[in-house]
Amino acid sequence: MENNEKTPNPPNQQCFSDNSEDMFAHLVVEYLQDLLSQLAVIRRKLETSDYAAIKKDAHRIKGTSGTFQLCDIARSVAELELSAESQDPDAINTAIKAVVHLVEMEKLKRSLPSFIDKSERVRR
Amino acid sequence: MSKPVPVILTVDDDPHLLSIIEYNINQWGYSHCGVQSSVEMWNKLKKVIPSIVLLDIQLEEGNSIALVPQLKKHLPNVPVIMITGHGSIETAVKSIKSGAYDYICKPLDFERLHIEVDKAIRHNHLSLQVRAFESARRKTDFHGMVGRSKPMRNAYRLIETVAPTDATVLVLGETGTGKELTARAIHECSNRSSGPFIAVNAPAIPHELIESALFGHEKGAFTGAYQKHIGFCEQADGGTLFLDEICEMDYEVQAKLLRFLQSHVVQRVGAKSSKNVDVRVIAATNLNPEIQIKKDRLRKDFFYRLSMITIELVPLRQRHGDIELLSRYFLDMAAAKYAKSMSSVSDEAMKLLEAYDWPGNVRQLEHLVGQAIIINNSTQLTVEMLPSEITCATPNGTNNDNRQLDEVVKKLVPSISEMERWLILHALELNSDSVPAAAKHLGLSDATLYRKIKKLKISRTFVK
Repeated sequence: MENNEKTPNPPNQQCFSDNSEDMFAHLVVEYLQDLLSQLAVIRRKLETSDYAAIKKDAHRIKGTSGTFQLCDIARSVAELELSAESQDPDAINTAIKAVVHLVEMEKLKRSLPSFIDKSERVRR
Repeated sequence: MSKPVPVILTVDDDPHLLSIIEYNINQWGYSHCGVQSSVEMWNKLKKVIPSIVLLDIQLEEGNSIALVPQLKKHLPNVPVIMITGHGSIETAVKSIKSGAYDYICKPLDFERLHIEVDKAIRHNHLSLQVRAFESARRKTDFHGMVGRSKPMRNAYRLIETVAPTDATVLVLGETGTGKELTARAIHECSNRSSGPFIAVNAPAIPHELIESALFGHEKGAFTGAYQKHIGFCEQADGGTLFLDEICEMDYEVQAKLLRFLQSHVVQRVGAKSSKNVDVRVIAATNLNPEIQIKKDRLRKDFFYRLSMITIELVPLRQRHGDIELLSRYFLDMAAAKYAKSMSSVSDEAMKLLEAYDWPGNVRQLEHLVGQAIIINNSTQLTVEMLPSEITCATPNGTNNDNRQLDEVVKKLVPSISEMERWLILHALELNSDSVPAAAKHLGLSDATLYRKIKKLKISRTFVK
């Protein structure tokens, strides 16, 4: 089993005021950012047909994304895990693309409020 | 002071999962440590003792079930909760068989995890308490009694000797010396140990209720007797009745108890018939019985009936070496009771404890240790935690002020020979220096007075 891939970087330690919602939102954004790197790693594993490692990574991402309440991403990663189990490179590729798309959408969704807030300020 | 914050150690190879777990655990008011591998976990455990370990079943390095027995060996009281993905429930069950406390599935439901963590922390506290109580119990030397000094060893021997007999026992000793503990030890060593042990603290029962409390009453026997009551003497049937502070009992009650001791017959107040009971009586007092008899506070016949065997417990200040044993014992007990980590006494504090004279005896030492544990979060009992009455005491155990007072009193009180001299001179003066008259006055023979005059070198012109 190839487990030589670098483990994702730990989230930055950042000071927050007592606002725990800010803290949670920050953790989710950091996770989404790192998820894209993790998916890039999975892509490289696909090039070497390391299906076992892909399945293992997908299983881990499924648990963590679900814990972050990113349910659509978790469901999509579950499909990726199944594709890895059936060792179907096309299905894996499609699943990776679907997950990347969902991650980008989630990032966009989360950055919108601050984008609107900034635009409002510029307009004023 | 607050209790130490429980630490939860999570072992998971996903740093993002660690961060979201930490975020939630901190919200619940606990402290969190996250590590990504078993190597990091063992390193962390060298510095931190967690209250719970959350262990991911599938680490980067492989399956972590094998770690559970090792963790249980290293930290027997710390519950291990396995974190498992869907589809690995069978593995989670395996981990429980290997010693894990519980498992929780991914994606994590933090409400459920919160309940599990709280439950596991309570479990951890309880198992720590049980272990500490067991360890404290192992430190007792004789049926819950602690002490290896000569007077205590003698007391244990006497207890063992008298326990199998049915003889009444009178336990004497200052307050806090362990009279009830001694009575319980006699009961436990006796053939009655499977029977009841009923302790009666006479001063705590109102004067007008004592007879009914001891012998019981029938329903309607007197105003307010709405229900039948079985008295302590009857409750102790087949076991032991311990009567504490007997000198505080009314003379009349003493007479009734004396009759009970002679006949072993109980008649409830208002009852038409009586009942034979098989009860062994152990009594105790912190007062001198002879003086109490002279003061008409204790019936002579009651005293003689009770004191077939007398066990005299020495005060703590005379139990050399026991203060250290008792301090450690009470420290273990109180640490377990209040879930504190204090486990030792500094050398300086121990010296002061040993030098003090302990007027309240073992009970005072127990309260002092308990108080230190409640108000401090340190791991060691130090001099700063001791009250001034102990830190200001001199090496012989008395307070500085008391010591100075003792010196003054010593100077004021004359010696016997000085008193004798003064009495003889006074008697001679009253009797115009007539030795026979002075001897008669003092209740001495003429020869004895002459001998004393010579010995004390009293020079006067005597009339023979």
